[in-house]
Parts: sequence; structure tokens; C-alpha cells
Amino acid sequence: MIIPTYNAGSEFYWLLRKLKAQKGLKGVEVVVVDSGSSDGTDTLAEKHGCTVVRIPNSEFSHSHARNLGADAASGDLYLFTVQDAYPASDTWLYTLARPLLRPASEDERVSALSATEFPRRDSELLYNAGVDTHYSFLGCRHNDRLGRMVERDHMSLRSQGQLSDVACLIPAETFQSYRYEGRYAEDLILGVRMIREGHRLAMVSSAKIIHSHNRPARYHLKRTFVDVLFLLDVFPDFSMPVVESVRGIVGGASALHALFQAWTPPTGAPAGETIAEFARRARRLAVDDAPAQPIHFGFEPLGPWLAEAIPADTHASRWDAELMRNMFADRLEGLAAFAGRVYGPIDDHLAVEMRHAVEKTLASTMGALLAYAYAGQSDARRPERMKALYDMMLAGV
Amino acid sequence: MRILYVVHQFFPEFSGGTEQVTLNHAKAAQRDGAYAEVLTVTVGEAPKVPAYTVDGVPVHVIGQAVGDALLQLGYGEEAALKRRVERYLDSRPPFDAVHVMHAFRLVEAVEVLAERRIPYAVTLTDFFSICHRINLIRVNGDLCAGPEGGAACAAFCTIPEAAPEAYAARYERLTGLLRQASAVVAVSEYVAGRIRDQVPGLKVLVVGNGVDLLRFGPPKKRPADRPLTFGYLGTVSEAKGAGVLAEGFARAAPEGAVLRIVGPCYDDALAARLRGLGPSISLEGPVKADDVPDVLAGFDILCVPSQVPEAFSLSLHEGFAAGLPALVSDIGNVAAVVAKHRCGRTVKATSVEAWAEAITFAASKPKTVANWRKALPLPLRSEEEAFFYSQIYRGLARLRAAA
Repeated sequence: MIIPTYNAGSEFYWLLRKLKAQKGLKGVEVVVVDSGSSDGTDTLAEKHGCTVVRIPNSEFSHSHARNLGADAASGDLYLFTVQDAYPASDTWLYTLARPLLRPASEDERVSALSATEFPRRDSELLYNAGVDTHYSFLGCRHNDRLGRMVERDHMSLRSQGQLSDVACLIPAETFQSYRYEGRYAEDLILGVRMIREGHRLAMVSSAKIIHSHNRPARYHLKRTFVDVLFLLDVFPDFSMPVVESVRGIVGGASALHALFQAWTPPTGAPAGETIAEFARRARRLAVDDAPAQPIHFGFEPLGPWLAEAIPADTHASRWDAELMRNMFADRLEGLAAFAGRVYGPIDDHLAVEMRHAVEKTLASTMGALLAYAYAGQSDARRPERMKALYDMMLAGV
Repeated sequence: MRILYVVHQFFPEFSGGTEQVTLNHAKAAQRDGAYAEVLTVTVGEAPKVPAYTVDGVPVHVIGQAVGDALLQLGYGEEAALKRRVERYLDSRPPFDAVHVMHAFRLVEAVEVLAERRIPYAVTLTDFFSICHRINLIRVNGDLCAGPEGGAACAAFCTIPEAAPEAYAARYERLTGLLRQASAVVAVSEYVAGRIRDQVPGLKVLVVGNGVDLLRFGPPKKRPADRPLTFGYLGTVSEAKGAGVLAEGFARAAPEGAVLRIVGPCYDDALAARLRGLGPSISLEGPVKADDVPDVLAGFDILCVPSQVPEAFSLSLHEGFAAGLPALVSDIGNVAAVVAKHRCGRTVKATSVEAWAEAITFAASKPKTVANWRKALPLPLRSEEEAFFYSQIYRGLARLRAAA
């Protein structure tokens, strides 16, 4: 089991105990690749008998750390997982390994597989809705899904080739012939490379890993920026809108944020319809001449950058402001559909969750459009300011 | 998926363990993308607030005949309650799965589910299905092996208002509803074993109550200057054994050790007696759920001296999460768990002398206690429990769809 770590916190103790408690396999070796923890994560791992590989924080990348861990591991199977995950039973690893070791039939034989996630008790509404959408897209919401090469377009490659490093099991020999590549989304890249060469992969919903997030709006802003750039980089057919005006993006976002700040989900109203109604209001909002306030969703470094970028932006802003508005409304409709299926009437508790989810959706939409604005410029013509945005947004994700 | 939780009482009027577990399940189901709703009952023809929400979970309340204890215990049928349950179900879009968290006061609701062939799962958190006294303790205080088809109830636990044939009828009625359930889940092997003994052939799964492990970190090093601390956590009552434990501790009087008794006490006479047993025993009152990890971190050995068989004991498992070995009664699930894992010692529940001896032993054998600590099992995490149930719900939904 290979786990990249950085300041994993007190819950890492439980993961180590759970991994050691796995039953049904001959033995379990845990390799921790720690990138400079200051909270004792590495010593805790050593105390629990793990092999610890230490690297400087500056050396970390998702691929590099995991490749190092694999090199330090001696087992026949590699299970890549993360520091804040937790297997959902003591036979979880055995259940996951069975299709690799003893498939019930040739039809079930796969080259690698991942467990799908079961949310933690502190999971956020937006994450839950996102997982629901993503797993539905992958075809593993309620069933185990076999993935294989079907079509060469990005939708097919993504839906068929998805592996997840939250819990990814792969024979050592197979892994070493591929290894992780890329600075980011190394699991999807690995899966796509494998299905292109004829391997079959599985996303398993019958053996869940407990994992989810509850992250602030600023994380969603950055994360979506990175996600979009990754998709554009890896999938040449991934289409993107033409976005030129940072002023337009931010003008739209700040007008929508003002609308959001004045919004209070009414107690007793149906949750899904309330978000849908807010989406309709957002879609009707006039944003073409919205003043661009440097809204940064708590990501402080973005404020000064926007304060410089907005006045310097000479592109026409109307189209991009409207795109910001429409994409936000589209995303809210997805959130509304999930909320409508899951929740009944709104109470104080749910209202808080809904507000958080809506604001994070806005941050995420702005992150996507900033990524399109960045990617729409060729490397040669890209101003220094946009390069600075790229470095800022990628830091820490 | 639409999931209905059926429970005999709920927040905010009641806030016990079953209510908390029900809310946890419902919220976990929501996070997993399901619609979750709670159906509960209150005394009175028409509830003052028939529908409300708790932490985003919709709750519907139906009324029950005032004060008819026999009906609540499953003796006889309240036709009006049954009609209300039917009207409630008719008023809602169909549920794919129903989880009966406790059938007390709501046997009629389970009967409606069975009649309508709506797949349901029943969780057995105690022995209500086979024992109208709920805890398998006879009126005279003796442990009961089970109802023997109602014959044991008629012999040892009669209710003045109940007809002689009522006990067998209750047994048939409630165990019949277990047999018609699509899944029967016990919170412990101990409960499952008692049920299987009394309902031959019934398939009973075991899923324990999960612990919120995120609230517990790695066990901390105990302060060197802290006295050896025996701890009790829970409602302070004779049934839970607080009296026998405290008297045992006072009799053992281990040098430099203390006994902390933490939890609400509604028995003034017991509280006075405990306070009179000496300065090394403290009675500290109730504690908020969020503070439980800190309280347990202040103990060295947990004591669970219940005089009635515990079906599970969340305190014991939270104690495991806090790194605490345990001295426990020799009855119920606590005895089974401690014996299985050798992470403590079982003690004759009712014997002050036995508790004194066990406390003396634990206080004088630090190496043994350290070995108990090393053997502590890893508790089930609350999300694991939720995941197991999510699998059960999917099975129920498949049955519903097939029907």
C-alpha cells in the first residue's frame, strides 16, 4: 500500500490501523512517501512498521511521490491510496484484490481497479453532488463497471479509463511497465494509457473507500482551474469556449456574488426547487456592464492580481460576463437536481449547506473560465500576468 | 432511492442512542445521494407538529392512543394507528426501502409494511421483539434465556392486564414480522445469538454501531502525575451498575487510584450513596457528546458494570477508540467482546466483592493492563456502519423494483 503524505493529522493513525487490520491476504506492507510533514506523520508511520520514504516538499508531485513509493515496495500488488481515506471493512482489500487474483470468469479479468468513494460524515453538499454526477458519468454509481477502449473521443476515454488514486489496485509488474506520468490527474492518465493498449479496468462500487472533502470556496476556484487545464492538455478534442476578458469573467462573477449574498434559502421551501429558482434568477441577471470587483473567494493572492489585471484588460467583456453567468446557472441546475432528489424542506442547517454549495459553485465556475482565458492564449503570446496567474493557481493543488 | 426510517421516538423530544443512530443513518443516506425521511410516533390523537426537519432530515409524526402500555409493547392492535400509517404512506411517493430502527409503539407500522409488501430491514438494538421487558431480565431480576414461544413470559413476567394467551400471540406476531423482513440486523453477535435461539432459522446479520473515529486521535501519553483512574461513562443508575461498581471500588480502596463516574444521574438516593463512599470516588454529572473523547482520555481503565445485558455498549467501543481496556459485567455483549479480544476482564455483574477483586487486580498488575491495551480491537467507524446499511438498502430497492 503506497500513501503519499503531508501533515496527515491525527486521523492518519486510524488509517494505518485499518490497513494493518485487513484480512484475507498473505501480508500487507505499507509504504509512506512523506514530503516534509511537520506534524509527526512520518514518525507515526514508522512506529506502525511502515517503510517511510522522505522527500523534500519541493520535490513532490502526485506522480513522482507515488512512483517512488512503488519503487520502495516489494509486494506483488500495489494499492495506491491517500492519507485521508479509510477502507470500509476489514475485508476491503481482499474484496478489491479478488478480481485481480481470482476472477470468477475471464469476463471479469481486469488489469487494475479502483474503489468508489463513500462520503465521510463531514462531507460537503457540493462534493456529494459532484460524486453523484461523476459516478453516473462513469457508470459506477450503483454497479461495478468494467472499462475498456471503446471510442477515442475524450468523453469515452474519460468514462472508460478512469482510475482513482483514492484507492487504486494494480499488479506491480503492470504498474512498473507504465508508472505514473504527469503533474496532475496521474490516475486518469494511467487509466487512459492502459485502455489504449487493450487493458480492461474496473471502478468498483461494491467495495467502497470512505473518503470525501469539505473544502473552502478558494480551493474550488483553484481546483477547477487546474482540472480544466488538465483536460485541455490531455484530451485534444476537449472543446473550450473562447474566453478573452478577465474583466468580463470577474465582472460576471462579482455581480453573481452580489446576488448570492442577498439570497437566503427560505425555511420550509423545497431545497431543489429553491436552488433551481436561484439559478433562474442568476440566468436573468444583467451582467454585461457589471463592474468588475476583484472577488477572490478567500484566495488572498488573487486579489492584488485581479486589481492589476482588470484595469489592464482591453478585451470586450460582455460575452465573457454572460458566459460566466450562464455556466454558473448551468452548474446550479445540476446542484438543484441533486438537492431536489435528496432533500425535502429547507431548515437552518440545510440552508447553511446550500449557501456554501452555491458559493463554491460560483468559485468553481470562475476558476474554469480563468482557465479557459489562460488556455486561449498561445504560449508565445501569453502575457506575463497570465503566467503569474497559472503559478498562483497551481500552487498547493 | 427513497428511504424511510421508522423509529418509536425522535428529536427534539427525545435524544437517546437510537434516535442519534437513526439521524446518523438518514444523514449518511443523504450524503450518499438518497432521499431520507423519518416516521415516528407521539402520544395523542393529533401531534402538535406533524412534520418538521432535524438537520435537514424531514420527520413525520403520527399520533398514538394515549397511555396504552399494552398496545405500545405489542399486545393487541391499535386500528387507528394502523390507519394513520396507511394514510401517511398513501400521502407520500413510494419508498424504495424502509429501515425499522425500533418497533416499540410502532408494531402496527411494520405490519402495514408487511401487508403492502414494502421491503423493510429491521435493526435489533435490544430484545423488544422477543421480550416485552426489552432486556431479557425477568421480573424477579433473573436473566432470561428467551420467551420460549411466550411460555416463559407467561410463567415469569406476567402483566396483570394481559390475557394468558397474549404472550404466545405477541411472540408469534413480532417474530412473524422479523421473518417477513427482507433483512434483520443485530447490533452485536450477542443479540443475534439470542434472537436466533428463539426464532429458529431466522437469518440475522450483525452490524455494530459505528464510532465517530474522527473525534478520536492516537492515544496520548498519560500524564505521569495523574492517579490511576478507573472511569464510568453513561447514565448513573443501579441498572447500569454504578452502585455496585462504586461499592466495589470503595471496598478495594486501591492506593492512589480514583474512580470517576461521569454521566447524568436521576436517582437522588443513589447519588447520595455514591457521594458518601469516599473522596476517591467523584460523581461528575452529564457530559456533552462532543466532550466524550476528552473525558475518556482522562481514564486509564473503563468500567462497564451493567446489571442488565448490554446489547452493544457504545461507551465500551468509544473506550476502545480512546485506548481504554475495560472491566465489564459478565453478561451481555460487553462480556462477549472483552472475552473475545482479551482486552480486559469480565466481572460477576452483581457481586461487589468481585468488582473489588477485579479493581485490586487491575490496580496491581500494570503489565497485564498494558497487555489488555495492546489487544484492543479497532472499532467500527460510523461511516462503515452507514456503508453496510447502504448495501442493504440497495438490496431492498432491488426487491421493490422486482415487485
